[in-house]
Amino acid sequence: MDSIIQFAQQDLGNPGLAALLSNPSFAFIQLMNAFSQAMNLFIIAAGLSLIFGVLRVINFAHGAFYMFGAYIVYSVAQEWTGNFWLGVAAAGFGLAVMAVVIERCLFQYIYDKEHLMQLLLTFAVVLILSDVAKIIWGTDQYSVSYPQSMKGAVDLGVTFYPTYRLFLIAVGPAIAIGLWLFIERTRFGRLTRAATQDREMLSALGVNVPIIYTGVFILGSVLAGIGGGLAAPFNSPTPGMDATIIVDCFVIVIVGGLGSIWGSFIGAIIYGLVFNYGSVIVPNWQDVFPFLILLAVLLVRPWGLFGKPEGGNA
Amino acid sequence: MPFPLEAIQVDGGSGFKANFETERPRRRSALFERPLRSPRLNGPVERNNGAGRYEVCAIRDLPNDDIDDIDQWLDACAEEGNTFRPHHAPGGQTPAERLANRTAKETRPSQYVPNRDSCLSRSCGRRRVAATRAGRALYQGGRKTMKRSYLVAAAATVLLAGAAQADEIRIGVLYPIAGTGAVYGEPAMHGHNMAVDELNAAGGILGKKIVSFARDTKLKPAAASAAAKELITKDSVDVLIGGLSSAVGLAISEVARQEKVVYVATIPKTIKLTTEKRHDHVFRTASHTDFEGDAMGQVVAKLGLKKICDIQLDYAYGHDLAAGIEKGLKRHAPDAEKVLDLRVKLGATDYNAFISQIMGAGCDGVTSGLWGSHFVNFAQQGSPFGLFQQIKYISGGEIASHEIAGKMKGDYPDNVWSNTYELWYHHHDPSHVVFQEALAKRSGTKETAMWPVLAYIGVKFIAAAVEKAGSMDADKLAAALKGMSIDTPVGPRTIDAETHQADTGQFWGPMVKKDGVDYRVMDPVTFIPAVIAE
Repeated sequence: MDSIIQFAQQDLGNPGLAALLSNPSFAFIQLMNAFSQAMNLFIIAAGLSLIFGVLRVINFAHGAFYMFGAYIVYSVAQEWTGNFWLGVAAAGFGLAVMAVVIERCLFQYIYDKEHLMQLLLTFAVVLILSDVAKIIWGTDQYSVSYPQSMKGAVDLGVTFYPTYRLFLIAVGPAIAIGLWLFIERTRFGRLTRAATQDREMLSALGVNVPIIYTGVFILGSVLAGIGGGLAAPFNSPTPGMDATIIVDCFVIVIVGGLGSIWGSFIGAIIYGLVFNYGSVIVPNWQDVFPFLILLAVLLVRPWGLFGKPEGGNA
Repeated sequence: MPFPLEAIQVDGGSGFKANFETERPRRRSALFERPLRSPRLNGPVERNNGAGRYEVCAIRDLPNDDIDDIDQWLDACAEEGNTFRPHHAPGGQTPAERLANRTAKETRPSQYVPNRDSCLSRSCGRRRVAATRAGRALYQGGRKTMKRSYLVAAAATVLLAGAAQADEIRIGVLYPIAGTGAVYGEPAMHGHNMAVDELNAAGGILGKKIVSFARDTKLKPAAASAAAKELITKDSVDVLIGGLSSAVGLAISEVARQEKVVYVATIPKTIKLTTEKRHDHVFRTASHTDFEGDAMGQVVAKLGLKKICDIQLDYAYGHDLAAGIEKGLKRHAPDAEKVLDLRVKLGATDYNAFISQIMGAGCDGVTSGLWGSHFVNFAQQGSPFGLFQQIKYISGGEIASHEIAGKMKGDYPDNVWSNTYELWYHHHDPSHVVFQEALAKRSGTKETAMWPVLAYIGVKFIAAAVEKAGSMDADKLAAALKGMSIDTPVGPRTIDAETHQADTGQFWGPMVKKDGVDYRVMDPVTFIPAVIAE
């Protein structure tokens, strides 16, 4: 082992790799960092993936929903009540309301339209929402405090790790399982799956398909809002935060497979691992790695790791 | 031609091509563009179109196919049209007569409706696209058409001969007004407008009113350089001011170099602007990365730090600051060793991977230039790890400014030493009290931001230079700015005659808690002057 470390340090001239190999607790912290980042991204990406899976709309405005979630947490938790959890709940509720309005007034008219139209409309919503956010919250960068009970760090034996990050690591799988149960085991979930398979038949059977669509859109948007709310303590709510997150989410969703919850889950973990270890080992290439994975997946399995080939289920 | 081109009016559907676009600014003639589909605004030009097409040269046959002969023939035609043939629009005079009889008051096209603000919106961009398209169609129409538009241009010019109004001083202002950068651009505009209003209230400069033309740089070098070009060609501004972000500053400076217009950089800090990329017309009133790095070296020495981790943003400013810190450490804290170099992409949101590297590297000091929300995120993510208990955080990027401290409040971490150009609660110079009160009134808060003072000082420098030069000529202005000293709300400033850099020092100190307020303040405040002692 020592010789490997020496090789990394001297022959490769890579102090990052050497530090990872020689310091197990550092390697462990990076692992935890990867998971906590991944789980936060998963919550948001899952919403994007869900909406695409059912509605077949690539929603560029998803990042803006995330941004609104963060801003709402700031207003409710930091400005008015001082209770972070109330803020997150408000973010979820606020996004649900926004989702109803946007879906009923705009998105429902473009489900049958070509992709270019959908793209234009969702992009228009991005521009509108970012201006609305600026009108409401201005252009300052805000900071949201961690919830009182999760300010510190927990001793994991190997090292200390921030409580809030541990909480995120726990929340991600909980949401994944919850979503899976919801889609696989409930009546609404079954109808949702049916709607992705054959919308007309479902409607012929007397099911109110538009309601299902609205429901799915709300669910996806609420996930974005909650994701943004949970991110607010470490990602300062600020204009432009939507643009950064949407790119990460697209990488995750495409790697995992559009429409697949577990795909997003695994995609997010891959993204987190690559970003956190990559930025230690080859710091100058940290931004390239996620896209290299994306490229590799697109070349080998264009429909993503867990996705289905387009046209496979017409 | 018997007269120089002073201004050209087109209706947005011009067939003038690249040669025209490059030649016109070189000759410093203004361009007036009419909105599309508004021929009534464009009467004189439209009439000349008719004159060109039906009355003068176009109704005669070309002499032959030889280009030299055609050129000669066209010159003769233009000569006739300009000096012999009476025109309807100038009341029966020939264009040459019209030019000779022109009075000072008539320097501007009579129906010209200033519509500059509209170009802040998107419709302006669309108009330009349409213009290009129309131009291409016209070009494809053949060479004869080209010649005709050349002729029309010549005739139209005469009617509109007139340079930018002589009784005002036009300043092109370049800050990010919308989007992410507005958080800095908006307060900067407050400072800018305040300076302009003060000067105008006092009667302007040389008896002329100062008029500002603001364009959005969108924090992007390409957008900034396009905006700078438009300001020069469309609004015929006399000077450029502003720039936010080092990359944007360099882009504007390049336009200023090409167009030979004075540019005063109020915010960009990359050292390159006043070293390898310096030219005759660029001046900087902001600090720069070598001053900043040197001051950080002094702080490291003062705190007795030995092992330094450096974390910077991966673009012009971060790279240059890292180099500046390297030099500063060598000068002031030669026994401090740099153990870790980290680069984070601009706009990054997740810093955990870097935080654990810093904590694992065993350094006692972190030097950084993470500004704005980068710092907020870094601090929020580092605090739970106990990062700020383990190290002293010495940061450029003005994170000691009140806009950061006032927003982070209780979340602002311990052990931060940083810089700022101005602090609303610290009166370094007696005139600051008056400045701060006026600014507070204008921005509607008692606790004012730091950015306004930078824009304010830039305008004051330009005003002083115009006064001294007694003219708006770019070379004379540049000469006046060299070695110029003025008093500012944060003390006297002098622009070095050789480097074109102002001696802009900054306030440095630890950010501490204070009784009675919920935000951190700098205490004690130390002014570190912009002097690099070799």
